[in-house]
Amino acid sequence: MPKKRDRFQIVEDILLSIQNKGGQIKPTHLMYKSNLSYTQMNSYLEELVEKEFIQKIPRKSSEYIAITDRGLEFLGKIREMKEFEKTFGI
Amino acid sequence: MELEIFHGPQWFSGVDIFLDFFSAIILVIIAMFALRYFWIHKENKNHAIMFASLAMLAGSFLFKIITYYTVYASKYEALFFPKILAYSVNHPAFLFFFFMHVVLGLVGLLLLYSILEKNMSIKTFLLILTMMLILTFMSARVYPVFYITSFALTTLIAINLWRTFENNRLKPTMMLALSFTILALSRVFFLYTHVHSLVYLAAEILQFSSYIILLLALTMVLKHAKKKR
Repeated sequence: MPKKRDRFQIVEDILLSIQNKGGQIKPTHLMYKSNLSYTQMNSYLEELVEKEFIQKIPRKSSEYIAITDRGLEFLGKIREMKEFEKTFGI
Repeated sequence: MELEIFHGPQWFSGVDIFLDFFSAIILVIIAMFALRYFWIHKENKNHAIMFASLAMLAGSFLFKIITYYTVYASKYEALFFPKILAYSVNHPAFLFFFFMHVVLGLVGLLLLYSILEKNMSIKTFLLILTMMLILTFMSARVYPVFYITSFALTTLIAINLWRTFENNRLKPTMMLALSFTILALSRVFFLYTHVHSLVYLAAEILQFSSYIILLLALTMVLKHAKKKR
């Protein structure tokens, strides 16, 4: 059975989903990609906006969510940390 | 309890202090990375333990430097070792520094082993720690027992890392395993420093090489992570 994701992994999944979509994504797409309910996703998005990892961009048709430079930097740090963990086997 | 400190040829006295200092710096660098990862993911306590472990090993080096400086300053009348800066080898402060060098060295290695050996409970950790310290300080000769225990721990860490390498086949893991294997080998040399002064020289060089390889492994990890971006 797959392990339950912790808060950190969910944040990583959200940021990765945005990055993989070219840096911008619609909230509904993000909800499916990161496998979260609407309420859960909104609570995470609020936290990420506060940390300046993402920003909401209003467009004509709908609102988009974009990853910021700070968010990309954070993703880079996560990648580095995972390599470190994999190397040591911890 | 008897304190015996063996060292290399006279020309090497001081050079070894520099090698130990650079080894301590390498440990501090890796410890800072572990701390940085702990700040990123605080739920993962392994990074905090690794930081503590590496900081203790660096601390052990610093106390060794002070201890050896004291020995050299009391033995050689050289410009590099002004006596005014050193304690007497019989001074309680000297014994304290020596004690800290041994304790931090052993606890640091045990902590590192505890995170690599994932199933170790806190109770087991505390039991091993108590036995290890009792064995070291109740023995007649502290230094050989310290190096035997240190050899056992570094060998166990190296075996663990070779096992990890078997699973992930990553070059940095191989470098890490190699680094700890060389470190374990250096412990054997340190055990026989009383035989000839050149054995101490070989032990120091082996130890320093192991830390250089450790630094190279870290550099490879960082490069690999950057490539993935």
